[in-house]
Amino acid sequence: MDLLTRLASLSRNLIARKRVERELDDEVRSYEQLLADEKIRNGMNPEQARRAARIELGGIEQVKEQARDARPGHLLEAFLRDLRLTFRSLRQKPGFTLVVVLSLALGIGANAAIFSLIDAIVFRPLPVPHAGDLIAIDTAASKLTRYGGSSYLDYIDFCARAKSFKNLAIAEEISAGMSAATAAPSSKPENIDGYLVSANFFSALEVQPILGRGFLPEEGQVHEKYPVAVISYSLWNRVFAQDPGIIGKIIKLNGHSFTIVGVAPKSFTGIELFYRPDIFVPAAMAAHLTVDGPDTLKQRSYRGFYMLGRLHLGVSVAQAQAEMNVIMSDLEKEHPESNKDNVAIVRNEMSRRMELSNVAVPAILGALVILVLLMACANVASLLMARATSRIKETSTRLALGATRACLVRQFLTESMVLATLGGTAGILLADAAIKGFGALVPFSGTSQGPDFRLDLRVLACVAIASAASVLLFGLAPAFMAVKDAWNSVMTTRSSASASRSFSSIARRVLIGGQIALSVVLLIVSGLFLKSFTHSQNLDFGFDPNHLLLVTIDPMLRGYSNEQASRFHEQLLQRVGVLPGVKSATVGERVPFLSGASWDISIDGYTAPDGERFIDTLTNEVDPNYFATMRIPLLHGREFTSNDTRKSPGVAVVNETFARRYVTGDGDLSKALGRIIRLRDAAPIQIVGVAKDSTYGSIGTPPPPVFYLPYLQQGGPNATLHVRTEGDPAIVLPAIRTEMATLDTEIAPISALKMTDLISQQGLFLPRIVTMLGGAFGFVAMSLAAIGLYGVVSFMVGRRTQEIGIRMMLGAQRSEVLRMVLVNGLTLAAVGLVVGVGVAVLATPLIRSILVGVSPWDPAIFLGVCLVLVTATAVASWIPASRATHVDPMVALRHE
Amino acid sequence: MTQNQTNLLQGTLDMLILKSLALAEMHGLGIARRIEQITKGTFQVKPGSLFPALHRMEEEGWLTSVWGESENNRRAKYYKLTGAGRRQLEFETKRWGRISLAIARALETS
Repeated sequence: MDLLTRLASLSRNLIARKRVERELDDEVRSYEQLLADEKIRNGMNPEQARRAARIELGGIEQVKEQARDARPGHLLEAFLRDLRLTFRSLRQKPGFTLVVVLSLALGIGANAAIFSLIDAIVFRPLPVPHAGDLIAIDTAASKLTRYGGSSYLDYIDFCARAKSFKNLAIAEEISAGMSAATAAPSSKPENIDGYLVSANFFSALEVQPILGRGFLPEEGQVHEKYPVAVISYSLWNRVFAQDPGIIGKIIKLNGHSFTIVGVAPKSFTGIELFYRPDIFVPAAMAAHLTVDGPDTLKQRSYRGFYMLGRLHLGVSVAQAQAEMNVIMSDLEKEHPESNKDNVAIVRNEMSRRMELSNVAVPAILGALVILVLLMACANVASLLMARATSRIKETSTRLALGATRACLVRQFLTESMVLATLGGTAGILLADAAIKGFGALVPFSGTSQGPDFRLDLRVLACVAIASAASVLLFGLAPAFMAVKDAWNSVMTTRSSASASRSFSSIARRVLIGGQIALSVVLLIVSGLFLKSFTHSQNLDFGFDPNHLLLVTIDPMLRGYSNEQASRFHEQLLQRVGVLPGVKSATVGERVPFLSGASWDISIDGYTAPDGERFIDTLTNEVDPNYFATMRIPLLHGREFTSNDTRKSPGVAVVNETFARRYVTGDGDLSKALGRIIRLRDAAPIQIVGVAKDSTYGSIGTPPPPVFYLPYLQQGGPNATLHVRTEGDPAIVLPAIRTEMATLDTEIAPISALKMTDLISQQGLFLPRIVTMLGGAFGFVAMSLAAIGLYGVVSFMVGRRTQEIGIRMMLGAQRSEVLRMVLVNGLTLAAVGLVVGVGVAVLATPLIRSILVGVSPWDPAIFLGVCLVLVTATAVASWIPASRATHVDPMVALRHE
Repeated sequence: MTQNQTNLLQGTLDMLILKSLALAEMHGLGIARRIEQITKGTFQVKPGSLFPALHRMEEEGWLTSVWGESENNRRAKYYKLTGAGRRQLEFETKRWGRISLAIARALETS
């Protein structure tokens, strides 16, 4: 039969069901009459003949049912019937339905949300074709690190010499003040993020602009000759209202005119997960757009470019690495002053990202959330089992009436499928809301930086699979058990109560015990996170974060030169320092937690264990008064003064860790004073002070070695004003703005932020998310376990109503009944608790690395969790237990 | 389409129904009686097997049905072979010939 006939008959059977049914009925009845007629002809009287005909036919309804089963579409019809039955029975038990759907929604929703989060932080492929083939090449300053940008000149040499790569492209993050000029006259000037790129950037990434073109080879070769730019889809949409005639129009970047030559496709959001550039400009135009100006392209020691490429077909990463090793050692010989000890690291882009990111946190979150899903599934399974058991009577009646076992199993499965669909849908809605919530928590949210959280298709597919799996696992088992139990009870006509010792009831107890154990583990973990989080908020940062205001200004955006910028900062500092409410003010190029620039330096008299000369350390350029304003104690020597300028000898202050690790060892710290350190340009810089350690980078990690240089001597145009105030720092902000406006009417602060806010927003961003989620999971887990326990105990009470009634008739006291039921529930809880604590003791050391100042076996947390859990389980068993004591013996005896 | 997978008994019933309809159109009871007659009473077709088979074969396109009057003026549904049904009968007959020959041979060998 061809498809068309099949569809026709399917639609006939489904749509014209009434007519088909009537015909079937007519046909069977006519058969019966013909049969009776035949018997009458053979000599029976009409009465006997009709009776005999009916017997021979074997039941009109059964015959009709068999005929129906022969028609295509009968399965669909049966399914629709099951569906109707399911909805009717679910409506009858709204409590059961709600708990199952909620459990599934929480489990699936939490998983969708967390895996979307992890995806956004670590695993999302870059938005370019064949992203899996992308190779990232780092040029590290020394063998001690595995990361580092490349210099423009090195890149040119790589392109010329490396034969393994089909192409190599570079990009460097820039920030520019853009005014749309003639392209969109009504728009306001704004600060946008972008990339300086090699001319082959778009072709190498296989990204095709949707309007215009990428860059031409000559636009990347001749310095400062072709002011052209490609804009992002998002900028095109936001500022230029998707103007189709945008190509060829002029915009101004930092005051320089650029011609728009292309618009990138909507999908292309850059080559880093946390950075979505709005503008792309050939690196040859660097002089107009970067702090370091032309040096960007002329100094081999300026290694600011991130390099990506694709390998030729058949070339392996290892072969490319071998080739790059040779090229790097050649370059070291040719340019020893800049390339000494430099190494290239060739990696697949995704593997580099995994190496770079701290996978511990995502891994732990992933593990926790999978536990939550398991618990939700256990809950659903135990509820379905309880329901199946309580429906044994109904099921056995249906079996007795001739329903096949397959038919019953199908009905049970339909029910779990409906529940899973409802739960999955609710879960997706929940996940969507949670992801929007994450978005709001993220620092820099709504800008071109930071993770981009969204529910993506891969995660949705995982949710679908999770839902489907939960149907199969948690619908099929109870379905088979119920049918088997019902079959037994049909066969033996035993009362349904005997089924209480059946396999399904044991399975339920195991499930609930397991749930309690899991929730103990989750609660302990979230308790540890919470304690660690509270602890990290009160950590000693090595500086005083209270009453400290940070105002970051970038005078580059106004086209200031280095000197102009320094002068601006100095003038501003003088004016701010005397404002009422200000105790002291200083300038630092970098802010702890925000950025950690690392420089490679050499120290006279120090050689690294593997013989390398250069070491990679964090640096900051600061003004006089920095240590006093930050309240970082100076242990030896002096602070910088206004005499430390570009004209005076180089000086540096190092922190304690720096001094101990590279200079003095465990000896006298004052010995570090007078030692010489050198940057790549080799000019001597004398250590004049040793400061106490303070936090840079992430909270909870040991302080890294840091050296400070005078801002007046070495600083660039970017700087942050650090203002120590007497009261709330926000009060002095308007006065600072006024002073700024006096100096330059058009300059606007990029950001003004309290140090305490910065710490809680960014320094504690990850711990905060982990703590919140951990706490939420722990709570959800405990609620699920309590609901499960409540279900088990009240189910058991329901089962034993008759027994309880008899006991009470025979004189049992209420308190005894209460105790009996409570003991039953609490034994289960106790077993779960012991197992849970055991697992936690084994498991918590795994998260030691992200706990700050808390032992993984913190006794207070363990004890507290046990108490909370005992209370919760006691309540969950007490409610049904007390209900049992109010059983009227007479009612109980009649209860069946 | 699934002809080759049709199992022996079902195939046999189909074949007998097709065969009994080969000469004239008939209603359900007529088909049952005709099969009894041509198999000398070896096959007694119960309504529980007859109706599903008729409906299935109608869906397959081998039979068509039409409501008519029986010999004693009862309304009855008459079945009739289609072209496809005749081809199917031919096919089933050949197949049956092969099978019975094969089985007969198998039983003859000692």
